[in-house]
Amino acid sequence: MNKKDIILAAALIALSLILLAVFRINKDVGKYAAIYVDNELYERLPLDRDTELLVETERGRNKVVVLDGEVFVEEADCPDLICVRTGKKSREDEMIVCLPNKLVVVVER
Amino acid sequence: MEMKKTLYIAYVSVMTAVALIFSYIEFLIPIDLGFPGAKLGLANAAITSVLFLFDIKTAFTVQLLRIVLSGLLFSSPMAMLYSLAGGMLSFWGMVLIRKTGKFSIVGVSTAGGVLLNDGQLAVALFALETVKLAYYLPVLIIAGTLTGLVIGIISKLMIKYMPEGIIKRYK
Repeated sequence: MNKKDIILAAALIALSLILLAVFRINKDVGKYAAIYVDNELYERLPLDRDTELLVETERGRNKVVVLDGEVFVEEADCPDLICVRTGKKSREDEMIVCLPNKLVVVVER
Repeated sequence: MEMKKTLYIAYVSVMTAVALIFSYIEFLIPIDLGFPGAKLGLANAAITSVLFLFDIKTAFTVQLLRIVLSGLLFSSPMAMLYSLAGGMLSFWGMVLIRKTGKFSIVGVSTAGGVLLNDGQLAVALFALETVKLAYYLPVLIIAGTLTGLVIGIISKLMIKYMPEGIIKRYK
């Protein structure tokens, strides 16, 4: 490892921190959870009402749950289950993505 | 001459096998940061060391073989597409960084780690047609930098413990 390597790593980390600041992670709590399948709006769930919605399309099945103002995917038939492990989201622009089923849940204002 | 060629074939095969095993380990223990795209990139350790010990052509062969074989053996065609995008972007990025001659194997691997994640993200952006995924970019860059550093150190050790005879006879 030489000096240039360390500069490169430091520059990359600095860049991502700047990007993070630009994207502002501390956004306000959102009002809706918009569910997109194949990039088309499937449903908009208000976050202030507890609901469960089974999103069943030809691409697959994901169970989206709104509970206590947070949205999460409770279960899914995708192989990697990244969407389930993403956990609960409530802030604006936060996302849950299920690539195999082409499902995206975005918290919106 | 014949001896050289045989050694070369044996070496490339062994390194491909090593890269495949790394891919398999990664498949068994997925590093889960809660979003698609993040990869540990263990197999990059094999690719970078081949790149430094041999040449671009050899490293490219190993990389391509690894992606196609691990796609067929362990995952799905879709996952293969993701890993192809990440793998190619990081490979050519590493080649460019190495060409500058300013960075050691650790720096090259760091760049590779970042590009590996970003290539995967690019395919995800394309597949889901949503620019909002760019939201993940900063976290992916940090993850890629850290894994790239570690993988770079591993590659350095791999080269260090490679039997010297193989390299000398090839060259």
